[in-house]
Amino acid sequence: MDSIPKLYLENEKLTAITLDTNVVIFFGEKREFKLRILEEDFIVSLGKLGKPMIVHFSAWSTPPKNVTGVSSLPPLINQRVTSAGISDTGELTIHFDDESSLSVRPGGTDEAYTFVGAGQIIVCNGDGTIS
Amino acid sequence: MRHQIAKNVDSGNRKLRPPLLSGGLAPGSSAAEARSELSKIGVKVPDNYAAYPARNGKGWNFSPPDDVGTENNLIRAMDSSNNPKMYRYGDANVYDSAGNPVNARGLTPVDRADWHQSFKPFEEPGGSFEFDGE
Repeated sequence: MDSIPKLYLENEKLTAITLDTNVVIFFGEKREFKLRILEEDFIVSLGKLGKPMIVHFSAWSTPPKNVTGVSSLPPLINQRVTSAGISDTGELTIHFDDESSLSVRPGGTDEAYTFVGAGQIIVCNGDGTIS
Repeated sequence: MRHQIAKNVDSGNRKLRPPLLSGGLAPGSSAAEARSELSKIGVKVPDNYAAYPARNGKGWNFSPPDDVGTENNLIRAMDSSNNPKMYRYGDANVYDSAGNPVNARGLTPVDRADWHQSFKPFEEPGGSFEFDGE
């Protein structure tokens, strides 16, 4: 079994979010970590009591279609990561210091997300395998 | 042409596709073989690009020497797969100098199939096969 990679995101600040063909989330003062959410909806919970919101952003469609939940994203900017990891099913979860969280679960075809940083390129395939 | 899935089940009891007979980027391919398959679909890997294997060893990444480990000008070549969610003959993904996905024409992809360039033209994941009684 392939080992699950570490993200090395702890203590990094979420510094930017772009909504283009994909949702891309940058971490670090120099944006040296990049999470690109490709072809999956994902879940954001804001604060300790935040209700989980599903964020849908159609990859590739310009302008994006049926966008939902993106209003949950701006409050994450400047939040610092307290923990981040990938489960053995490929689900990526990030917790922030204000107790917000973001998670992406693979479930479709092709690729769910890519994560780049600390000299590594992590690709989560639709079946949850990491390549 | 449609195919029936062979009685081929992995440890997760998922039906697998039969082994790849020919064509595409075979599992365990070398970087040279990956370059060759990329070339066949029109993706030229510059000679000075560094080659390094995918994390799971099932494909290759090619990057400019100064951009290894980033998506800037990255070219990814994935091995063929018997997983129905993935490309049977393998596929390529290309990024521009800013690390954004681009299609074969260097433009923003219009959909996922436009970004994932199969080593077998017209193939989409799971699209060429049918399951025998899931």
